[in-house]
Amino acid sequence: MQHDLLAIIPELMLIATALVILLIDPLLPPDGRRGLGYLGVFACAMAGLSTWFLRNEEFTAFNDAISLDRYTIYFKALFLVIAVIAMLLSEKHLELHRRLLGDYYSLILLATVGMMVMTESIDIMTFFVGLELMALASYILAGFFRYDELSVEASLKYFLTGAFASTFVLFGLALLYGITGYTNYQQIGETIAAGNVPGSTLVIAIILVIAGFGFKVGAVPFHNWAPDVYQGSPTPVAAFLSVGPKAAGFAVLIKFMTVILGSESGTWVGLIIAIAIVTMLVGATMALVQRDLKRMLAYSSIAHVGYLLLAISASGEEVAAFASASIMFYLAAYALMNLGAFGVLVYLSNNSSFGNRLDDLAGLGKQFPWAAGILTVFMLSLAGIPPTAGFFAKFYLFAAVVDAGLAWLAMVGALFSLVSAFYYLRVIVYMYMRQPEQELERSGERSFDLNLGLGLAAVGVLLLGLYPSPVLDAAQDALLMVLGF
Amino acid sequence: MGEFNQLAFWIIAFTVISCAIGVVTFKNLIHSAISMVCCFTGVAGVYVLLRAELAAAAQVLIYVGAISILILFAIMLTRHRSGDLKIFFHRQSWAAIPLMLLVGIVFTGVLASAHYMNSSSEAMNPDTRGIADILFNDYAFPFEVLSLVLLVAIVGAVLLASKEKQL
Repeated sequence: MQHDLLAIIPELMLIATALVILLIDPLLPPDGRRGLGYLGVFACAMAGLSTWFLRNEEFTAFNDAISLDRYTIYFKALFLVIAVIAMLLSEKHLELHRRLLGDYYSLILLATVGMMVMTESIDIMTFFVGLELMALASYILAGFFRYDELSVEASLKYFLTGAFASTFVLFGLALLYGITGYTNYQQIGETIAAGNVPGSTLVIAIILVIAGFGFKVGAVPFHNWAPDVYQGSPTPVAAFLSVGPKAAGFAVLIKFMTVILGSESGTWVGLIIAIAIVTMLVGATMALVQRDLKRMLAYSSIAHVGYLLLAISASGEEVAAFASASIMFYLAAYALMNLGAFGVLVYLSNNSSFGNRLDDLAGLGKQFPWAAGILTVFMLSLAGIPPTAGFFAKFYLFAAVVDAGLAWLAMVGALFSLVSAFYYLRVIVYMYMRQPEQELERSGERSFDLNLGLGLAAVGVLLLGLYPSPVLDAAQDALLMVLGF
Repeated sequence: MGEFNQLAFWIIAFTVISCAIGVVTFKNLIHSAISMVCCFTGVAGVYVLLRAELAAAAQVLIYVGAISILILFAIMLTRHRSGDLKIFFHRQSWAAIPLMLLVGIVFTGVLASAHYMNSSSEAMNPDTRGIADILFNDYAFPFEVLSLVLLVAIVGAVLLASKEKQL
């Protein structure tokens, strides 16, 4: 029994902290709640430490419900970084909107636990429960500013589309169970590879699962919720939602596509390629015409999902390990730069009359030189320009796609990333080369946490850009050990 | 016995589907809710036909009993803006209905003709003991995580519905 619990020590720490926060929150005076965020960050740090000690362990626990291995550890560490930065970005923003409640931190922690359970699951039942835990917490977080109509609308839209997507996934999983008789990934995969399952039912199951994942990660044509949800939800929550659930979704998608459906790659590669191309097209072109920065970042995140799906399709070919490692690296880089970009928006709206419009950026280079400088780093990284993390992430990703013999697809991807460079660089042009019609009013609400969170993200983006090999090696090690490539 | 089961299945299936259509098409919320109660009861009947007595009992107790009453109460307590509700998202139904029929026919055709494996575990023996075995041994971990899902749901309900929580 002890052995089983060892596998979920990081989760237990987060769960315990979430419960403690829920318990002591009502007892605290209003300004005593500031410490709760630090408690959450501390819990994540401790959980991170325990994943470090567990890094060389490899075993399955709870009757093959979950497995602990390098792959899981990599993603657990990534989720913890995401949770820490998201919590650091939040405190001042919540306080200014008079919603600084402990429940917020509990929900972030429990959503993180959900992502971890999803990633470590090797059984479709465990996976689905983890997915629902993450999703339910995200719906509530999106509506956290419940006196703000846009936030409530975001929550409702997210909930309805998310619940719809969950039924797709569930139906697909039920069919997989029906035709194979197993709930364990490995056993399902072996039964499918053995070839005595009804083919057309399998195709329907694959389509349903891909459609469900498409909703969850925001791939076209299942993307319509994303712009409204990111625009409406509180900005720190949008930062969290735009990276956390996506990273978890792709972590599971890699496992699904290689372990369960690896032998069926002929069926799904074409489908994924088609979705990837449409996703990049819609993401890149729609982002061009957005005047609201949160909507622009939403479409930009859709475009990034398109690039990631390119690599998923490459993982169906011979070079699965390289492609999957490039996805893992890309997710780390993407998490840092997207959290950072949303974080600068949080900073600006805390400190001035900034309204998330593109026009509000005019003259920012003079008025807020630090924020403008940091936002420039994140925009360059999102555009994929060296020496930032975004450059290497795109480089490895496209290299993996070329290696898989899909050079034309890499060309298409590079073309769309050229288009996307326009709207990222436009942000920089607005900040440094436009005269503002009227300057933003400063309100001077500084916050140490926010600055720390932004600093972490910026340093991370630059470090991954200048010295990417440790993270990349970790990703490759993880795949070697786990998926047996 | 087999013929009786066949007949019972078709009657129940017809009831469940027509009630399900009723839930989304009735303009009066109370009618929708009552239609839903019938739908839930029918599903319990399907479980009985599959000899899953525990699932059938749980279905009646939880869905027919508790959840339906809760929904009826919620409708009654929020009646201050009453009036017939219109379906407000029907602008695309001209495209949705043929598409739905197409997908429905293809899915039914494929899924009905497929061969399904017999389960390797006790799942084919869905009596009380079998379910307890599966729930508390094989799937103990997801079962425990479900308690967190419920916790999140409660926290969210309080957070989104309570009036006092603004600072």
